Amino acid sequence: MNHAHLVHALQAIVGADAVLATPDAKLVYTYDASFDVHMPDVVALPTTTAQVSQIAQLAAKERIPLVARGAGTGLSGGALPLHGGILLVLTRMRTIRSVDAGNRRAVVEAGVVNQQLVTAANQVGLTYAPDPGSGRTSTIGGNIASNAGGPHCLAHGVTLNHVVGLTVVLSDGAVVQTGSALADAYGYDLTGVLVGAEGTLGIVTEATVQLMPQAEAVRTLLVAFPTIEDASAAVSAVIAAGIVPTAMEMMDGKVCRAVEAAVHAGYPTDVGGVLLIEVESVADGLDAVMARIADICRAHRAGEVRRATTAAERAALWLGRKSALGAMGRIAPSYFLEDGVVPRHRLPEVMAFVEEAATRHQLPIGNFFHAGDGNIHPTILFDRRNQDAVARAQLAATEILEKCVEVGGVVSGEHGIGTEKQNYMALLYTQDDLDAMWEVKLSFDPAAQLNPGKIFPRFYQPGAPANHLPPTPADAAHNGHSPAVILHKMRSDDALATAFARLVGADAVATTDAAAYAVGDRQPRLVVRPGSVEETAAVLRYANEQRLHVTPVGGNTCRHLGGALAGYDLALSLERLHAIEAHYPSDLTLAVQAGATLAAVNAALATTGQMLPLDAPLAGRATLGGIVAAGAPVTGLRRLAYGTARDLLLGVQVVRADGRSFRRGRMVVKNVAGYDLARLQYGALGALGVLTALIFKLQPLPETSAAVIAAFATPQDADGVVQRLLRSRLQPAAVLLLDAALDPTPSAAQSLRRWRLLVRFDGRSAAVERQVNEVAAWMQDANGAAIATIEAHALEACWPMLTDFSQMAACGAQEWLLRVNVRAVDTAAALTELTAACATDGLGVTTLADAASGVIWLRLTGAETRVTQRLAHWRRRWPQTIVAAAPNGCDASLDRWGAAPSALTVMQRLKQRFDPHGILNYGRDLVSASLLHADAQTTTPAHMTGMEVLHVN
Amino acid sequence: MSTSVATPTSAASPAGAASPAGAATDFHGLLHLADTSAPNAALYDACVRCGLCLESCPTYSLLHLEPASPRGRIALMRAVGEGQLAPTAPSFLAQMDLCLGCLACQAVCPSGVEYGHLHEAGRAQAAAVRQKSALRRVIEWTVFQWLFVSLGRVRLFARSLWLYQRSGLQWLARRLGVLRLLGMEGAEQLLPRIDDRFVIADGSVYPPLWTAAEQSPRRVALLTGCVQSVAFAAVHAATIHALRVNGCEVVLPRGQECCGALHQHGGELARARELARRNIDALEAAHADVIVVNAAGCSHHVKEYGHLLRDDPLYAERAAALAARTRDITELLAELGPRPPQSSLPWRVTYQEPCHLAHGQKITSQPRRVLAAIPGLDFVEMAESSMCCGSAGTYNILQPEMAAQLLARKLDHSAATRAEVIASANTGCMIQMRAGVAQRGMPVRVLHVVEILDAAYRLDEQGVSARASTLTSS
Ligand SMILES: Cc1cc2nc3c(=O)[nH]c(=O)nc-3n(C[C@H](O)[C@H](O)[C@H](O)COP(=O)(O)OP(=O)(O)OC[C@H]3O[C@@H](n4cnc5c(N)ncnc54)[C@H](O)[C@@H]3O)c2cc1C
Ligand code: SF4
Ligand code: SF4
Repeated sequence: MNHAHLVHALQAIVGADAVLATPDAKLVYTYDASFDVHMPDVVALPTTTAQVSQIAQLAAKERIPLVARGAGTGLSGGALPLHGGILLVLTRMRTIRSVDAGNRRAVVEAGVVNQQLVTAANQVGLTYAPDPGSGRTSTIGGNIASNAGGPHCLAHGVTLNHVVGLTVVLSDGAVVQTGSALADAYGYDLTGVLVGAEGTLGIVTEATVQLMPQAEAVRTLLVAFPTIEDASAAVSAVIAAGIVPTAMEMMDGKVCRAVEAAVHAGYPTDVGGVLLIEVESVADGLDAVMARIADICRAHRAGEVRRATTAAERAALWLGRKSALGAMGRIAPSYFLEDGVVPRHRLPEVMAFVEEAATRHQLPIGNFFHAGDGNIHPTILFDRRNQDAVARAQLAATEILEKCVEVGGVVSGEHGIGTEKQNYMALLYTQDDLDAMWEVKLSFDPAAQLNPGKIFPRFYQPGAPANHLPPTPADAAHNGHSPAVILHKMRSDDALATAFARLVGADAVATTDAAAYAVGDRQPRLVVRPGSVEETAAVLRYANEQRLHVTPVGGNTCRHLGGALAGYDLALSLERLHAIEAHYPSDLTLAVQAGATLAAVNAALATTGQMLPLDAPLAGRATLGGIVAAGAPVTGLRRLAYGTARDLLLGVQVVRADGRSFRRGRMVVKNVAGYDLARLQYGALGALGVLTALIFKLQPLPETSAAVIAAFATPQDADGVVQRLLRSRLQPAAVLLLDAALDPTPSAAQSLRRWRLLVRFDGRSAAVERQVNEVAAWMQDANGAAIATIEAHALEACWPMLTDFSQMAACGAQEWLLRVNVRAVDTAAALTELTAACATDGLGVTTLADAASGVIWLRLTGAETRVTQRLAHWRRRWPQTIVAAAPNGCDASLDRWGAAPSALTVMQRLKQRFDPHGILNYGRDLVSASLLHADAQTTTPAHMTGMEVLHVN
Repeated sequence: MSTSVATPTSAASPAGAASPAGAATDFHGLLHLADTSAPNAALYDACVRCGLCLESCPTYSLLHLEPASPRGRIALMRAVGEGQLAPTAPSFLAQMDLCLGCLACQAVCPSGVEYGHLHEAGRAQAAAVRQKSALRRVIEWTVFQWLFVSLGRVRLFARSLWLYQRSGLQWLARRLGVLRLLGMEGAEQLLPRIDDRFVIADGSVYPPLWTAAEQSPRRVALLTGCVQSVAFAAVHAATIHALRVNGCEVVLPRGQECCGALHQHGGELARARELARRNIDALEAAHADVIVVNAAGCSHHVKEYGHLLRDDPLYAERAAALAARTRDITELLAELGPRPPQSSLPWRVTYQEPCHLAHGQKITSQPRRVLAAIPGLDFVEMAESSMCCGSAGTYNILQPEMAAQLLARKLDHSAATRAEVIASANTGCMIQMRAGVAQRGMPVRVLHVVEILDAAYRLDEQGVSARASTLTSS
């Protein structure tokens, strides 16, 4: 198709005024806020998802690159069409579809500007937390594609933590939904991988985002330091003291002066550096926190400590901070803006290095950055017309990023790789790491047409191109042609044990205690307990060659979770991999092997006043690898305050089915260098690889905690209090609606009412006390009976009983465990309906619900047909209803996961690429269950259908 | 293509500065008349492409197109400046025109890009190569070369307009569709309603109505302007009276002309300089402490005289000195207090910020302070109060579509406040807003901030005289 035809075809889709094709009109789309320049062949501005889909189909048919662009404020060249093609500018898709105050959700089109969303959320008392400095211009689509952070992400997390679902146009034009508007989604976390993928995996056209209440109180401090090293040291000292401010931003003296010239915000101009520190929360006790922060700063040679006294003053300070990059134009016309992240405690050293590099290369370097996150932005200033300066700037940039990597950091925290940082990827990743990312790329975009040439180093060559379709287990079993399978069939259990003993030692291989490793109804032929990552890799490589079915096992607390296994030759137990690899208390980060139990890790962390706030059931047995792999079904009850494993996971080490291993993530809290392979493991049930090590973000232990509980006759009676909580600015850690049978207090006896509402608060004593009292009063207003407060000690003692309610390990012979996701505001209504139905059907039921997230757990007893009939009915109402555990012996073909996600094809491709022979947990997770099902339905295995032939060049 | 490649220092162009005087009388001559100063490289180099200005730009917020954004326009000017793009490139020409010159971008730019100056040069560069439409040439010639070069002509023109509006001719013209034939339908709606009485700067002096003890009154010279003097006599009357109430002596210096803002905006820099020189002569002669201007576009422009005449050996210094003494009326009143009226004015008022005040002069709190001084006044902020209303000099005549969309947006926002008065501080905006309000049939008045303040002062006086009359009668 020649240019004129292409233009014509695009005009037919979006209209003549939405296509720019002449060189002078396209000229302004050759740049973004980075240094590079690349010319598109044609620019199109769609207004609907349908138009984007049509354009993608056109591009696919004509094999033309397709590059998405938001507002073009990217700082790494992400939106620049490296190989030309169609530039899809999404700035005209700027409708806010809905803002749902009760459920704290908004649905927005990709071109909605960050500030526009914040304003809309503010109108209902909520806010959208990610606040990049470019927020007044950049689009949500661009924010998602670069996993944007911002000053306030220190406490609230980055874009990833606030995006729950996406509408995505794939490279072939298919429109899929990922994630869910509800609290959880099942299947692989495609949303998590699309966030930060820089438009190389799919075009985001709509997003469902999570909103949060605006803080009740805010305190802002501006602290001046004689040197930037002092300021850096103060940052890690504050965190080490167990305080996580909402924001902790640094600007050096040079930047302060430029900013002051730009906005007159009152920044001191004769200092080495300043910290802008903000804390938001309920008001009680906040001043004391600020006083402590000020003291810590003074101990690090702080000069002036000034508190913003008015909203206008605060706004001016923030305007100044957010104008910092633009203000660099006052110093020089061009810049390279680096985006390294380092462990916070290495900041002073790294900043000294930056200063030294500036002197050595005789270039001014401005520093303004998210110090609290260790996310530095050395901005190397030069004039693009001076070739020598450009070369020196490039050299300085490389040295600084090398330094970041050397101290354990990464090359991009929030701006992405784009065209500017591509070659630094090689500093960070091995061939195997990059190959794993390439599998992701091809699973989404088999012809590699979306934003081509990005993210991967320019000289990257995929390592092991699988250029033929490998036979699948089902395939092989049918016709028995594969020699590997014949080998496996012929081997006795003893022969198997001997073979694996050669790899891991005889002690680490067992056939006797297989019952303890049973999954569903099946027991493994062999249990293997590798003692190292290398051994794990050897075991997997061999198992893969032999086409043995492997299930990774942690504490086996989820043995009933998921569909029936296609086979179970090997239990790969991770129990010997339980070491804490590293803990940086002043960074609040932890690296730990996957077999460590939650309880053991928390016991170790407690000595430093920190915790991994995951609250999964059976903490004494549940391993961290298992918790991450299980995902949604083991989320804790305090997710409102601390998030889930999806939010806290910073990195993974994974051994793939074929024994190759990769790492993604380091001990830093932000990282957009390459695809988020860590998120991909969340909820994948080990189907994409075996987790061997994990890196987590930690939290300081709260000063105290307390809960208030009251009895109500029906869930609806308690609903008034729940709704009030959902619309308030209080910060509960948990809001639970539970059966009286689960009431952990003596009040159980005091009221015959069937329901309890329990609200828990963690935090500063003053704040906890006030909030407990306030909620108690609301309970009183709502005619709650037997209102009681549970103090810290009693709460600690009874909490495991509540978290363990949803455990799946010990489901009795006749017990069913169902997990239902509903809209948070509908929890009480749904509970009423669910329990009424059980009564009608004569099903025994006990329930516990996380009313802040809309998660309902039901433990049922009763006849299988009754339960499955009800299940079908409920799933029509609440499609996200899973059977987390079913009685032994129940129908193996029962669909455990419910409705298939609309992006199932992409998930299936992922499974097939990471585990081509289907050896890992095959049949258990949603995706391989669907593949197995398809295999059973047709003679052509599903593997063979959706699979694209690899084109690697 | 002869591209004038700018060097970082040269602002004046080498070519094309042909004798303006002779060319002034024919349409084709316009091509040579325009000042072809190319944008200065130092000006566009200051733009680091951060994009922070995009959402503030009215044209971008309607079109969501990078070419229609400040960053895009600067890139186009840079490309022309660096010889990558010919100044005849359609995007360049179109964008130089589509830009309102509202300076919203400049006001938010952290890098300190002087967009106003850049655009002014870019526009002149565009004007130099442009093939104009016949209508455009007629309008521009009339406006820039004939009408607004002499206040006498403005008054003459206004008289005929006055006749046109009052005589039934207007009705006739509308009925006959003459205007539609001329393609001037929209433009006609924008004609200011001409006041029955004009303000003529004849050197008159108005004494203060009140003076502080031991302090000589401030002597304030009023720039009467062009449109303002014929169409907004009431604003002048209010200005003079309000200043007198605040203890100022007000003088209307003889010999002043139109300030030249319209010409500058239209890329007619030579004319603009000529008018500036004449005004400097006239205003200096008044020996005033302060020059006050009650149209934001004009006050902004007079403050820019220093820049405009920076290369004029005779006038550069004088222009800068005069500019430094110039105040917008809202600014001056806020400086003076203002003296709070006694009478209550129970009006619901919203404020539409003129670009040239809010962005050009960064005067945002002062007009609000003036309104806040009035007892009983119910002030409501409108959304996007500082977004351009689409008036922008001759913009509403030359880019009617874009202007209409901006006006509609502005009227929607003001309607949402349920205010009965829209306060403004600029002639162009007031004409635009009045036309819009009338067309929509909104029960709303559009008044200058000083008119509102003065309404309260007048009530005070009526009250005093009423009280006085009650006193005498009892
Ligand atoms: C002054 C300034 C301050 C900044 N401050 C921060 C900060 O504090 N934190 C931070 O994280 N970043 C910051 N940035 C960087 C930048 O603003 C962010 O990366 C922002 O998220 C980019 O959004 P955009 O709409 O401009 O996207 P673009 O620059 O247009 O595109 C960015 C990337 O997203 C892709 N993309 C865009 N839209 C879509 C879509 N709908 N679907 C798929 N892919 C898409 C593009 O292909 C490209 O790879 C700043 C930039 C500037 C200029
Ligand atoms: S804000 Fe200033 S520096 Fe940034 S793009 Fe706009 S004009 Fe350029
Ligand atoms: S002057 Fe106004 S219209 Fe022109 S670019 Fe700046 S903001 Fe946009």
